[in-house]
Amino acid sequence: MSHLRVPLGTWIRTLLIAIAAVVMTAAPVFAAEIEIAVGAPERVSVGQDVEIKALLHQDGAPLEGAEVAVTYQAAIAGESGRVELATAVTDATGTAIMSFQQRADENGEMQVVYLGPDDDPVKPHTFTIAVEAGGEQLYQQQTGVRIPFVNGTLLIVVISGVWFLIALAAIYLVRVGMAGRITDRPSSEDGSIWISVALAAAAIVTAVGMVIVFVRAPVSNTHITDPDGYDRTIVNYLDVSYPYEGFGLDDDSDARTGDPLVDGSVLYFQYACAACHGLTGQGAVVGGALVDEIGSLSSFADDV
Amino acid sequence: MKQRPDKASAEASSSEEINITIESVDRRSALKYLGIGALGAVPLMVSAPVMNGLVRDVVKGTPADEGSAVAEPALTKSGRIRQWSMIIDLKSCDGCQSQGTPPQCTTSCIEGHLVPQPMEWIEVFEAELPGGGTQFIPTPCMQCEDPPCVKVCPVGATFPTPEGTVLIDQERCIGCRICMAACPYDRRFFNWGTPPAPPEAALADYNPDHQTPATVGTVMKCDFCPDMVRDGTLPMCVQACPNDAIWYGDLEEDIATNGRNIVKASRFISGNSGYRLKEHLGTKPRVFYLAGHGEDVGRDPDETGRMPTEWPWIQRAEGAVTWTR
Amino acid sequence: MDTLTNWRERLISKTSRPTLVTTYRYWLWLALLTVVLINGMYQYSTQWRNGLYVTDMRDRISWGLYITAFVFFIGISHAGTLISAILRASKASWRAPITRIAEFITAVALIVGASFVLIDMGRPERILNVYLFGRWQSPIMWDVMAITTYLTASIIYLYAPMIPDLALYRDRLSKKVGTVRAFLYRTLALDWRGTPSQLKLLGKAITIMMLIIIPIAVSVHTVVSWIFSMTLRVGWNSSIFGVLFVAGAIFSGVATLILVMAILRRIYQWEEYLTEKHFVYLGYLLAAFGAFMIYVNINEYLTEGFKLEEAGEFAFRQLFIEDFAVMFWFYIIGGLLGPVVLMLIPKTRTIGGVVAAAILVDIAMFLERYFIVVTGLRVPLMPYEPASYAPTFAEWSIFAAGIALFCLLITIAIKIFPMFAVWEMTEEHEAVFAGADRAQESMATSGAPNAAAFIDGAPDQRQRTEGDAP
Repeated sequence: MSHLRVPLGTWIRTLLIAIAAVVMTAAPVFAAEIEIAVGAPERVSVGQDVEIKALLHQDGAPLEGAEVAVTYQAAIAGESGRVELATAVTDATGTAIMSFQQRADENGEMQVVYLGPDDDPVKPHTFTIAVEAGGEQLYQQQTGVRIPFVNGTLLIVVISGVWFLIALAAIYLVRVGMAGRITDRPSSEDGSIWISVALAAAAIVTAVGMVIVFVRAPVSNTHITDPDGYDRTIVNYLDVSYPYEGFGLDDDSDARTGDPLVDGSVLYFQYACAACHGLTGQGAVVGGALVDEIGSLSSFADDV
Repeated sequence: MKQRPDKASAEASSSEEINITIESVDRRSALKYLGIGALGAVPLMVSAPVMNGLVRDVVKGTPADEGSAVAEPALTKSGRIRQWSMIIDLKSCDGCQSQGTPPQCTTSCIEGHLVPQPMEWIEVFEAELPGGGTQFIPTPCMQCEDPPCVKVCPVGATFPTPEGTVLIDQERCIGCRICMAACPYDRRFFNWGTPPAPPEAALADYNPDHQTPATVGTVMKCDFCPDMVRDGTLPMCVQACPNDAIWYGDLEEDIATNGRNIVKASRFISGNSGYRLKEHLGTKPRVFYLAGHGEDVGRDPDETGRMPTEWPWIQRAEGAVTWTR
Repeated sequence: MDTLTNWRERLISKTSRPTLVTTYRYWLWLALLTVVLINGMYQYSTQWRNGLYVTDMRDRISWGLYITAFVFFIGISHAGTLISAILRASKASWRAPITRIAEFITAVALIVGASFVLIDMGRPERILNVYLFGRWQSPIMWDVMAITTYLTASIIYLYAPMIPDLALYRDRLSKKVGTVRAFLYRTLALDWRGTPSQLKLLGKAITIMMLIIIPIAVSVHTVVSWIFSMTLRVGWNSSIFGVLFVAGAIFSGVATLILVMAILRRIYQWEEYLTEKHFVYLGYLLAAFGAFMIYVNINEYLTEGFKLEEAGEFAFRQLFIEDFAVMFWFYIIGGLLGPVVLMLIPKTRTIGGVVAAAILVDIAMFLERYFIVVTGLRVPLMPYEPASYAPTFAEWSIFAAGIALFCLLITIAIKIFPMFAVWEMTEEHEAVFAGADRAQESMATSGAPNAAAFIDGAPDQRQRTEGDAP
């Protein structure tokens, strides 16, 4: 039977071809083969309403009732991750329109994902949308109520009117004193007139002082559209800037005195290690004690 | 009303019989005087802008203004101002019952800011649920958009920043405590005595962003850790929560994070039945709550009680004067 | 008219007696007040050193006795406005003997009340911040403005009508009092000669002040009430606070005036000038305002109690039934109903009855201020146990020192200033006298019983009827 012996290479090749044939014919049974096509603008600006059109096909036919979501790559406060922006369900034509307002400064890699059963994962469609630089403030603080004319002007009118009348009465008293000097009087009694002058002067000075208080006090309750509101320290202080001399997270000169104990405690405090590990590393309720030999293998082993 | 004859006044050196004419108070004289008064207000009003400018020039000369750095508000990449807010997921908060410790958000805030005892800038209240049982509500300062405390302060010691946080300038505060009467959430605290301070406090240059060292006779409260978030880390309470129940967000870019995940803030709030405390008062708080009682971490509403708050750093403070709430 | 002159001379000699004669009792009283004042100042020094820790105020109940005292004293200061300004504007002649005392109470009460604000501050040394950085949007700033305006206005309104009397003292008493007081009279009398031009000018000044001090006074206690009602607290969040406080201020002001009048009348034998009629009329005023206060309180409590919003039940419970019930019901029954009842019953419509009513009112109004402040703050804002507050010895000492300062300033004022508006009383007396004179004459001719027997100075007058022209 020597003419019947097939070479090994032929067996292997045949086996491989058979497997390939099986796989290729069986693939549609195992693979979902949902295709996602996406229509998205190339470029948006901050605050713009964006529409992402997703077209889902399964085996060439439009897929109805499928839920899709659009996500983007977000980052805030040292954390980054994928964030879902909007969801939609496809209609009879397999189209789903997801809309959202562009809030982020950059989108990174965006994806339209099919929110189907987990055991049949569908490859998401990735795309990018560029965001134009610069942008208007979108979120406006809803602070207070502004009623026209019910403000400092009205108060100034009322108060200064009243004080003007008080000053007027005081001036009349001055004139009373002056009228008494019409007849011949010894000059030793001249001092009496100065009382009324002092009264009148005090009234006028206080009135002016009050007005100065008014004009000094800016509007608090900042509307973010208020031009004064953007400068964080002009909000309530009239042109008094508050120097940021705090712990100076952006200026660590305090931690360069050369004394390791001082420097260490400054940094330990600045970067809020103390918040969880307590002061002097004794361990607060939140974090663990740091007084073991840090860096030794044994302490590492204990912590793990 | 009789009038004394003039000739008598020339010789009299005293004021024996006198009758003073009080003008009859009729409408005309009243209106006349009111008119004079109103007229007197006009020059003051007109000069107000001029005086405003004059006063600004005078104030400009103070040393604090010259050549000092002004802290920039926290900005997005394109220069929009961040609008800080918090979302607290009550489904994940169990008052640290499962940890067996006092609430860790409170403790980390106390340790990190050297908060004097008995202040709890973020306080975990235990509220009764309508159907029985309790829920835990960590309550930081609400950082209201229409803050009653800012409205009533006579000297502007408490003020809102462009990021939306409400800060206190303890160097301006006169200690009148009307802000404490005005706050409807019990979130402001007063230094009744000289607050204790450890040696580290001396390293701090005082700044409203970081209320250390505390001074007697002034008001303090949660400030959303503005110095930390401006530099890209999360506040102490957010970092410390073992269940990641506190989310910190920016309403401008509409994202929030709890240190582990990121969400789109508006969808997160609306999709989880978010609400705010005492909404009817119109304070428009920036802290949102997602209803729950700790069920996501396995808490039953009938498990009441939490560990009482502690101030561990006080043990290191010399001659600590403390008081009760 | 010699009789008028006699009457006037008697008036001057009787009312200037305190300025000339000082008894040992006066020094004893002064010493007592000084002791209380010094104790209060010592307690305040402990507060200055240790902070407000020495009080019982804490985070939850952050206002207490000091703010109560502030509101109470500012309230008392409305006595002067009512008596001096409103009654003068309405030409009620009976007010003449009491205007000066009322105006003094006003000025002194304002000074004492304003100092309690300073005492309550956590950082009193930063008071200048209020002027350097003041925000006019703040209720406390309105308070500062209103009280400054009222203090200035009431000092001018106290001083202006006193000028002729100071001139009187300058002319009569300069040699009998020391150089300091003589100099004071000479300086403050503003060269008063009684000339027509001076009369006219002074009349103008007084008219202006009389017109504006009424709205100023109303605004003062209204803005004081707004310190509470501009917050969102249950019990304070009420729109009727302005009316409540102004009415309560006039109420307690009249009561304090009655008390001061009664005390001075007894000590200096001023029965001829502070007559029963004055007390009864003031008693009527007290009863009228008591009735008005009852109406305002019904409005406040009925509308809140009918609805009982969240935490409303706690607020009502602590006020009506539990912790503050004794205070509250004493206020309602003793302080509000008391004067009404005492004045309705003819038997108690005497000086004694009116003084008793005034004592009840003053105590009740103090308690009202106290429980408004404390119960408003005691209602829990979040789920926590309600706190409690009981003033410490330091707080009571400082409060007592405030009362002592009030009494002290008035006591010193009695020594220096004329406590009666001699010229106004002469005017009123002359008008009454002239009318009685004519009546007496007609009765003498008609042979009717001599009604003049009931008029002061009547025996003198009967002798002179033939010679004098009316």
